[in-house]
Amino acid sequence: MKDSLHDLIATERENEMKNAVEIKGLTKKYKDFTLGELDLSIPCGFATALIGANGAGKTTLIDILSGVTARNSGETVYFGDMTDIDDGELRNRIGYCSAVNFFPPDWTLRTVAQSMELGFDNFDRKRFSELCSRFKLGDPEEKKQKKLIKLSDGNKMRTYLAAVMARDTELLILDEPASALDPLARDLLCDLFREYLSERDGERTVLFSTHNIADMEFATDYAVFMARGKVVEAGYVEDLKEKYILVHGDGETAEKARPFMLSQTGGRSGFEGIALAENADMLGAFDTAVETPTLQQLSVGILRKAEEDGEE
Amino acid sequence: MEKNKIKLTPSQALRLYTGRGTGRWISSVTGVMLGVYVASVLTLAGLAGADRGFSFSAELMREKGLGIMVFAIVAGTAGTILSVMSFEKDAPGGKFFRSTAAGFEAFRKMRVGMLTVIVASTAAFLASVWLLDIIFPIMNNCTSVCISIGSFLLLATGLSGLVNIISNSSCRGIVNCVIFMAFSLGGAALVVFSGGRLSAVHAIAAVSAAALIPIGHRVMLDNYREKRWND
Amino acid sequence: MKIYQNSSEPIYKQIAAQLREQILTGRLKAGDPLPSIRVLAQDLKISVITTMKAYEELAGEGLVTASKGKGYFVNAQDERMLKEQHMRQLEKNLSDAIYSAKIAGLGLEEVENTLEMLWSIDEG
Repeated sequence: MKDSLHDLIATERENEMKNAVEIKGLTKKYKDFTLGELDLSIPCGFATALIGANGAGKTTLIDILSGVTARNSGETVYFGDMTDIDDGELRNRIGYCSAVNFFPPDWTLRTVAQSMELGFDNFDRKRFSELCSRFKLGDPEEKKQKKLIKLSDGNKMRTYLAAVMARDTELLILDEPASALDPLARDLLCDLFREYLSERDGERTVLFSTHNIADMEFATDYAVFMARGKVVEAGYVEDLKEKYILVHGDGETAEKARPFMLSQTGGRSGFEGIALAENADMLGAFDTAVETPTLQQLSVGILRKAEEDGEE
Repeated sequence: MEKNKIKLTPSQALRLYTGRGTGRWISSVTGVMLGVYVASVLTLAGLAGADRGFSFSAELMREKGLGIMVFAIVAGTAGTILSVMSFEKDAPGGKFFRSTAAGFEAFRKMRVGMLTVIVASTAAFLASVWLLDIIFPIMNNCTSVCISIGSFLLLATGLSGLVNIISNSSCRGIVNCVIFMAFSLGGAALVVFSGGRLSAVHAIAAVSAAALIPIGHRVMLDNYREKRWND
Repeated sequence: MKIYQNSSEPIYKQIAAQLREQILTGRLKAGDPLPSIRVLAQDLKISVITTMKAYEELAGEGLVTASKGKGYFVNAQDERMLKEQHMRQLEKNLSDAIYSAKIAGLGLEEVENTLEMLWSIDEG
């Protein structure tokens, strides 16, 4: 199954599996946290979710990929041939926004538009106005402007997203774009990702981080799970859903099932957890129910295992 | 390595970072300084002897050197305030600025713009005060005082470039404040105690400033690039 | 196309099934293009990788072919091959039916009766 999916992608892409970003040997050391060593590829033409708990290193990785933070070692290759993130030409192709405080709080929509125009070559003011109205933020061309500080966290994030998506980019790198948004706005964000990807069919890529994949599941194609500065699992969502199974059982079978499970939770009334699909037969022998996990359930299982491993 | 083909003028870079270009900054800062100066002078004049008329107050201020003192203090504020503005990575906007196409180049140009604002608004303020004093004299040897304070402030501006290496922002702010105020008042005091005469000291100050400003600026930028831009 | 997001049947299988029916019943003809995977994903509000997997399944069955840089197109369906495919599916379904019958303890005659009953319901 996995091979043929790769073949399929290869055929569509003129026999070349393109990666938007290739990361080799990346490390970044802080006083009490180390990111890396990371070896990772972000596939081109899809939406990749970087999933992990707070403190797993997602923001650090995203900041390094967008040039905000410098790495200590390793190399990153963008679009197959660009390696210098300080190059203005590369930066123009990337759309980035942070999770909080992206713009100073005393700025208005107009200031944002002005600075975005000065900061990049491809900012489209008209598209920005369109997005602002789609996000119900107001009109950046109006005389009376509201300062960002007066906006809710959700509206601040919408402003950042409107600014980023008003540029014609090839790679979106977004830090926790969904976290401050309500479910309706998250749905809109998913639509925006799909729109972004379909506008340049196959040429554009989305990379976003999240600590809660629940509402973004149907806009995610590739998932990378991080814990304690390392990648613990990665793969196309459909492949991961075949590699793992969700297992339920009652309390008595919990201990019998444990050796075959990746991780589990529960007590006397029952247990639930993630296991490798190859263990399905063994687990089936006990009194358990097996089904395909959602990406949310997978995240819980994989991250729980990573946490348990870390405590050893 | 900055391989950016992006061309931004210092005014554009300043506008990118603060929403306003050098023109607007200079007029705002000069306006504020003038406003504070005039307000302080009027208040003091009023306090000094309102019941006895303004010309009496003016005479008093001249004698006591109050006019000069207020002048020096206000003159030192432009440099102080602007040197304190910081654009750290974790401060609001920090990550945006670091992700722009021009990256550090834009920061560099912005600092040039900032420097221009400091020097130009101080000069404009000094010139305005000099003009005002012709109409309504409240200090002796106004021309010498202006030149003295001006040259010393230039020196302070050059020094503040070196001071900006200090990473702790409160520490940096305090040191900058002390330097600008001290030099400003020092320049005023020198003229007052020498009886209105300018000396070689002023020439030396001006010349050193001419050298120190670009050096201080360069040192500060290199240090910033290495230690505080991308960490 | 209608898909059920909360169904236990994987979405890609639902999509593949609906497209398969359209192809085998001739509603999609040989040479017809399938919608781009990203446009379809946008319309159905699902991940691109899901539509891709659905198309992959169809390509694996020989129903569609991916053309470099141009997308997916419906293959000419061989009458005999179609029949063979349906036959295979029938055999599979009947095997499942036999399995269920054995579990329930039913014999061949009961299975035949049930088959006749269902057939007439379907015809009528």
